[in-house]
Amino acid sequence: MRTTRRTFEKNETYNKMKKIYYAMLLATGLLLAGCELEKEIQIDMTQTKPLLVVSAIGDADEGKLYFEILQSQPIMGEKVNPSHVQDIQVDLYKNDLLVAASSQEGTGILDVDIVPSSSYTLQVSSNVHPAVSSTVTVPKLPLFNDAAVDTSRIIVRKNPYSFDNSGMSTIGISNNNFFPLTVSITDPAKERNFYLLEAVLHSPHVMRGEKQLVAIGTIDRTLIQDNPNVEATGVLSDAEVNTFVFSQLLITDLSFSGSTSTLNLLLAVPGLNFYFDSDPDAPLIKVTISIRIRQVTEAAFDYYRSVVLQNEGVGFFTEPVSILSNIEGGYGCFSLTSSVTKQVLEIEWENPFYRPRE
Amino acid sequence: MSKPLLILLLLYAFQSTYGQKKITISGYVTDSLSSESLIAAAVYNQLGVAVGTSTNQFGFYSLTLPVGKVEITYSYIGYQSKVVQFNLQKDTVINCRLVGALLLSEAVVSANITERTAQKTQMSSVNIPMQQIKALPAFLGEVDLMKVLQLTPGVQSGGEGSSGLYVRGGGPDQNLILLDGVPVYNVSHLFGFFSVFNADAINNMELMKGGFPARYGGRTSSVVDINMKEGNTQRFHGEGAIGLISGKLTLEGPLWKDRTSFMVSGRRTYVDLLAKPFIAAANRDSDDEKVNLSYYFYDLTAKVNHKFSDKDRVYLSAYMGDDRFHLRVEDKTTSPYDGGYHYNSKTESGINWGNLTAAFRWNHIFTKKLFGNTAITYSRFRFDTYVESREIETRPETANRVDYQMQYLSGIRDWAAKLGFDYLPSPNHYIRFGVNGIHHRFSPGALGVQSEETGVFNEKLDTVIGPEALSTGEFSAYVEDDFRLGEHLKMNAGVHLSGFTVRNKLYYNIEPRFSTRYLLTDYSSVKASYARMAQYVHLLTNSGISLPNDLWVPTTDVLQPQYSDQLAIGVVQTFEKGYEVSIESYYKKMHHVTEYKEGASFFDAGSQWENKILQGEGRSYGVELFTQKKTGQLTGWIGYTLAWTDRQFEQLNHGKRFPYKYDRRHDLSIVAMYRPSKRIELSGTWVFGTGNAVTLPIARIQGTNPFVTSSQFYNPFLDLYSYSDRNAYRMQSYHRLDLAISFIKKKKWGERRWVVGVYNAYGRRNPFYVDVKTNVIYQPDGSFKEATKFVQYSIFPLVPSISYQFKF
Repeated sequence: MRTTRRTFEKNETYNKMKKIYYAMLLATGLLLAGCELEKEIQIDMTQTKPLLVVSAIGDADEGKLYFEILQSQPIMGEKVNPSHVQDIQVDLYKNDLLVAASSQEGTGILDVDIVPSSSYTLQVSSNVHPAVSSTVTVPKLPLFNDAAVDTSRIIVRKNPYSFDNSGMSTIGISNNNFFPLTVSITDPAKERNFYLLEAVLHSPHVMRGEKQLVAIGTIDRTLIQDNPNVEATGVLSDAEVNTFVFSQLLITDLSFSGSTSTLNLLLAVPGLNFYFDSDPDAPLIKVTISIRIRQVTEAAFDYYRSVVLQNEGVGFFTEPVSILSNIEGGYGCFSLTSSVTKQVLEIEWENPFYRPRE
Repeated sequence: MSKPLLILLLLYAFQSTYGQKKITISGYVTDSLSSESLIAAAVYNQLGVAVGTSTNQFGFYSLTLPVGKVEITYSYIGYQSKVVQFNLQKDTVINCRLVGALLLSEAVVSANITERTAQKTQMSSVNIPMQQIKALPAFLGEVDLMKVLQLTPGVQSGGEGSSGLYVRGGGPDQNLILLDGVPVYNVSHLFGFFSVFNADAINNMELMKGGFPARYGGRTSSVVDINMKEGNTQRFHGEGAIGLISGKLTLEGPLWKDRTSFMVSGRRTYVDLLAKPFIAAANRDSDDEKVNLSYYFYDLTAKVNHKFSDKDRVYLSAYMGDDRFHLRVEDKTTSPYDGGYHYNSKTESGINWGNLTAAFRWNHIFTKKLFGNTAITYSRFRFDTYVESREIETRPETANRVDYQMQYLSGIRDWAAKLGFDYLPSPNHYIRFGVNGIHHRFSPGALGVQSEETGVFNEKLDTVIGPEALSTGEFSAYVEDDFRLGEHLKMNAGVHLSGFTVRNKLYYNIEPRFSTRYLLTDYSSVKASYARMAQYVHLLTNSGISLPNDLWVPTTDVLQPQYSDQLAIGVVQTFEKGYEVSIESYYKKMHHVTEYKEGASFFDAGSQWENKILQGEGRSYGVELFTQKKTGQLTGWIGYTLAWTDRQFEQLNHGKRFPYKYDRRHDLSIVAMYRPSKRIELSGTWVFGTGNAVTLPIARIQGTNPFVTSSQFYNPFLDLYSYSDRNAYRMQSYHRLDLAISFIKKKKWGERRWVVGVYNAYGRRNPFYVDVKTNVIYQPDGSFKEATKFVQYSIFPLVPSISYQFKF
């Protein structure tokens, strides 16, 4: 084909354009990739004095108050971890009467009867920090009527994925073992209530004769299909799995306020593996699962939520979350709960690793 | 409105004409070459008492004058004025075509500008000619209408590169952005770095920040009224561009000369196409995993209009634009161990979002004094994200297959009908009245999940989670009159009545509007305005960039309508040679503004969204200085804003008032375009702004999970922060210089232009986000310390661009 001058000029222009285009694209790419887009900056911050940070947790069922007393630290500079405070005085009052006291360093346990519906005041003083206090009324015992697991879906079988196809055993129906769980609860009318559902597994420990309390994964709150008291969408509103402990489900009474309701839940149990855990002294392996319902205070619930939300913060996509607190003059949370526990499952089977002592 | 009041209004409108013999001149004013309507062109009689009017958004005008000799002048900025003299004896139709005069000398153009800004009642408005907009430097060469508006006083951008508008302290949801009269809900591509409007398809754009006429309603902070090109009725014409990241082409022409014309314009990014060979090369090197990634956006704008007669015209316009992100991952694993193991998986996922708008409009001239426009419009914004996967696992004894599909959908869809009339009984009155009705359907986020597992285990799940779609109705009626009271005083008074129905609840608002100007001289005036605006839709967003999954939600029985009251006062002085200076001061109160509760975010906004929103009050006040040079070789403007903006919510910041995130004390823009010859065009912009307000941590605290007693589990300490008051600190100030140069050459077939530009010419590292960073410092003894510092992140250094543009 004959190349006319015009065609030639067109091709020249095209080639020139192509070269310029790729050169610019390359330059832009290099500039974007090569530039340091992060830099340290100095901000003139307001100086704040350290304040006490209190974590005090107790349950009526246990009769103990666990506490940790720390202090806040300036944002800039070296971080101390954990920042426990020395020389503190911790006093617990029940209806204005001193019921327990401690002068330990930073952390400790107070033995005390925690009675539902009673008010407790925690006071913490230190030589170098402003004193703090908090008053909490223990919630009433939750009206936990019943709980049951659908046992028809539970099988005990050998793990098809084991290397030798003989050793390990699991309970469950798949890798994601969801057991339907129903929980019946009566929510008192005219009150805003906050609940914590916990699934607790008791199983033999690897050490001979020793027992351990183990969490068993998520209580899934996805489905509430046949409860007329919940919202039309069938989803349990205002419920979330505890970010830090997956076996805890936090629920407010938003969907079932003032009524007796059956919550249909899914109890998620990861494949329980007894290959390593089985007690060689026990001819039978026995596992129990219990459901515990705790009624918690609104202040503790709000504190927890603010901690979770701040922890989950996603940079500039959200405004920072302030940590809520019921500690006057400081930070942290004083949380007292009351609880009721019901066992929902007991499984026994032969221990393949039983080795009788000679 | 009560009947007696309506009768009084009508009597008032007619009173000035009663008893006088008057004749009406009417018609359209258009561009002589493109035949595009010239909106707000001045039409003046220069004999006797100078009276005049201006064209409406369809280019229509009507001027009623006493019988006798008249000298009618038609003028429009950037065009050569046209004067028609004749003896007016009967109603006359004059369709005037003005000749573009961009290259005429300053004296010729400015001497003919009879309808100066100082003469108009409307204040707080900005109208930048498209030719100027296209000449300005643009990020990666992509001309962006929204970013040009950000260069005007009183308008701020959210963050670096963002095309969101923050007008006089309002949020991005408080702007009514109309494309041919249809609201566009998401005006951004690529997280706000580009706007959805293709400048080649746009004829005119006007921004109103205050002094809103009664015909507008539905948003509390601004109105951006954008009109598409109508298409050339005389000859076929096209223009296009090839840039670094996208290409575009616009075609227009007559389908039936002088009767029917069309315009179609398309734009698409092609970074995905350019990246394809690199992705393919990378996949060739990987035996197991193959990843395919693509992103692009496109816009398609089209319009057809037909003139049935001098009295009837119809317009059909549509816009469609989408962003599409797609990711495909294929994984193949084979293992000889364990008797042979094969694993195959394929996952397709994507995010798509975009707008679709359409408008059918019918103009009818009932009489020489009464113009009517009927419109039926549709607008839809949709956000859709999906994941589809299939996993097949094969072992000697077993085989298992898992299919999984997830889709999340959210969006808003509107159907609307509008009826509007322009009635011009005399040169002293311009009355507008009409009614609007909108049916909204909100889908605030539904998640559908389907999964099926077959083989060893057999499981099936098919469920939809999320709030149900909500239908609502919005309606309004308005009446306004732009009238003259004597030689110096002119007013625009009106009322906009609006209502909203949702879940059997009715909200309504009476929104009075008033603006006035008093002429000090022929070249200067004092202006004042008051406007109440109500808003029934809200945008749930909590970021500085425009994200596609920001949710539009309606007013409900829980969420109240927003409304604002704005007072403004200003002076305008027009000088010879196209200079104009205006100073305006404003005070705006915003009621029931929305904000997420602390910690709530768009990630979970779909579920129970009503419980995650707070409503509070907002306040903004300031002074704006706007100096423009509108004509000549050197054009441009300097805009400066001194402003304060804050918010107050009962549940935020302990109930105390706090600065709005985009509270910017000083905001300065300098914009210049210079055309030394017909072959070269230079332009530059420099912007400066006070740093955005930020909330920063002021102390570190360690907390624990309050529901775990020590006997149960290990309860670790959680590192937490105590924050300052909301937005108590400032980022560093922002400034940037953009430059562009165009090399223009006339060709036989038309015109070509190379545009070379640079964004952020001196490479300023502007703040985008400030964060706390903890460094671990290891000690010689093996222990370590942690130290904290603040770091600032920037996103765009110096960014060059080049594009090739052509016209034929």
